[in-house]
Amino acid sequence: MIISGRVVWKRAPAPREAVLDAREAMRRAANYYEERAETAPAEAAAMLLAQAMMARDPLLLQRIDELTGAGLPPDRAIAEAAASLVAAASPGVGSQGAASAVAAGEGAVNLDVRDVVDRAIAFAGGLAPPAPPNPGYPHVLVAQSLSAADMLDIDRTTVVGIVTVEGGPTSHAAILARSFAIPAIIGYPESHALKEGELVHIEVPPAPTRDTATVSRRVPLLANISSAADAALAATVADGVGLLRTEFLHPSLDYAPLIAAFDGKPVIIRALDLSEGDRDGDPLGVRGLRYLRAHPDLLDAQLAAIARLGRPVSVMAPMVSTVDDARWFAARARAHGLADVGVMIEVPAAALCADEILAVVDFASIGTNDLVQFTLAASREAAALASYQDASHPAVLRLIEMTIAAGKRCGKPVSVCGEAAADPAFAATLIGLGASSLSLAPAAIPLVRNIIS
Amino acid sequence: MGIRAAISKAGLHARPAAVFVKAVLDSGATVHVGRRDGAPVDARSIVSVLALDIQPGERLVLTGGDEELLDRLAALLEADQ
Repeated sequence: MIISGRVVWKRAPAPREAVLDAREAMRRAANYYEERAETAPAEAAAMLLAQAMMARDPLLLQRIDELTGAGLPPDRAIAEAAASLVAAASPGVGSQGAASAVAAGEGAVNLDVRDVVDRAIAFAGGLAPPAPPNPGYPHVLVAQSLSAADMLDIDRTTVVGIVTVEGGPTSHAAILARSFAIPAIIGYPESHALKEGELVHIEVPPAPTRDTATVSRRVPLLANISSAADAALAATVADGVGLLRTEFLHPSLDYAPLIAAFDGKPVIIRALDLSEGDRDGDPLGVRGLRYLRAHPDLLDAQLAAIARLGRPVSVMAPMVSTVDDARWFAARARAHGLADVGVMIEVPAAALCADEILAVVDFASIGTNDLVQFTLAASREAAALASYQDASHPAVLRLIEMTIAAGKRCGKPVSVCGEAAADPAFAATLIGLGASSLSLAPAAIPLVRNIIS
Repeated sequence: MGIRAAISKAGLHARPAAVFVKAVLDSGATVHVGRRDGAPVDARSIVSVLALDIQPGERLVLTGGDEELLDRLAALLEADQ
């Protein structure tokens, strides 16, 4: 596969006179990383929290105080304090050389430390933290280096490829590019010669061949969508819609525009996944189907609107825990004339009783995000538990395997939706386990398709 | 004051370094870490620890703190994280 796009460089912002003192700038940087970590995916959150620690490094702050006390402006105090710690730990690197390396973004200075220094200096100058540019069209992003925070800031719908001068296969840019399924060349020194606006081509090598017996079966790659923008992107890359999240449209019940491009293709609409109180309620509380059982009028209005679409669609319930939940939802949906009724399997109890649940519905879709959270008893919101958010944990894999096996026993399809399916290696695992289809973010479909086909 | 040799299984890049330094900071003790033939750095400073650029499998020397703390830190370094 070859990826093509115009080069867009991420450049360092021009220096500005300081408006914050150095201590305050460091404190802002630490807060910035901690706030980003709260909403970041698991692997990025751990990196961001490590960087928050760097911004709160007691020796670094002490050195900054000494340098500002000696009359240095905040930006120089921050860069030189970091450089002096680096120089002290690496004999042979003079403090002068290290200072220019930290400030100019060169040399063997740790890229994470440099990102902290850059952001603190930007805060000191009253600037927003430097974010990757977004020209609004598909492009290849080129940078000296990209940090975890940079990677979270890139627009995944327009960045078709990433090239950096520095870094390696284990740098944050490489790890996160892999998880976002963006082709990336990390640590390519010659790339500094690339010109802004130049058209470049990146050849993506074919993935190593896996067990061909398991991947030769053609498995539909469906899209998770929640907006017209998602739908437009999905229309060009997906075999259908595996998860239409209706809560983002709520209270509108007008689903026709989002599925217009999928005539003759599968479309699964998920009933409202709301919580009592607000949208971000207790994950173990009154939410998903529990909320709908408490507000049946809301569900009936939605099912009626879906029936009026006048085309075959499937409908499924979120957060189903018991056979009774599944039976209640199926009866309600069939009363509206809907023929293909399913449930999400995201609660371990539902996976363990998949045979009984599948007996009363037509299909199931495994939601990996919540299944991981509930199986490992680790909140998705807790940054400190990021390492537990692992869909390939054996306990989670066993529940997925059991659910798919139950589907095979009764001849009903079991698909998988959730962020985990966007990782090509994990997608191949799911197909190997026998998932009938995968549903993932539209932007991740091309690479997954390339690797599994 | 103790002294202990340990092997850093994963190397001290951002995430393992953060776990290690946090354990030192939480202990309240002063610990130094370095290569056997290099200058040790204050292990409360993650910037200093990262600057050592410790690669997976490198042998390190820990000094300071008490035996119990050094045992715990050595175990952290030797864990496959």
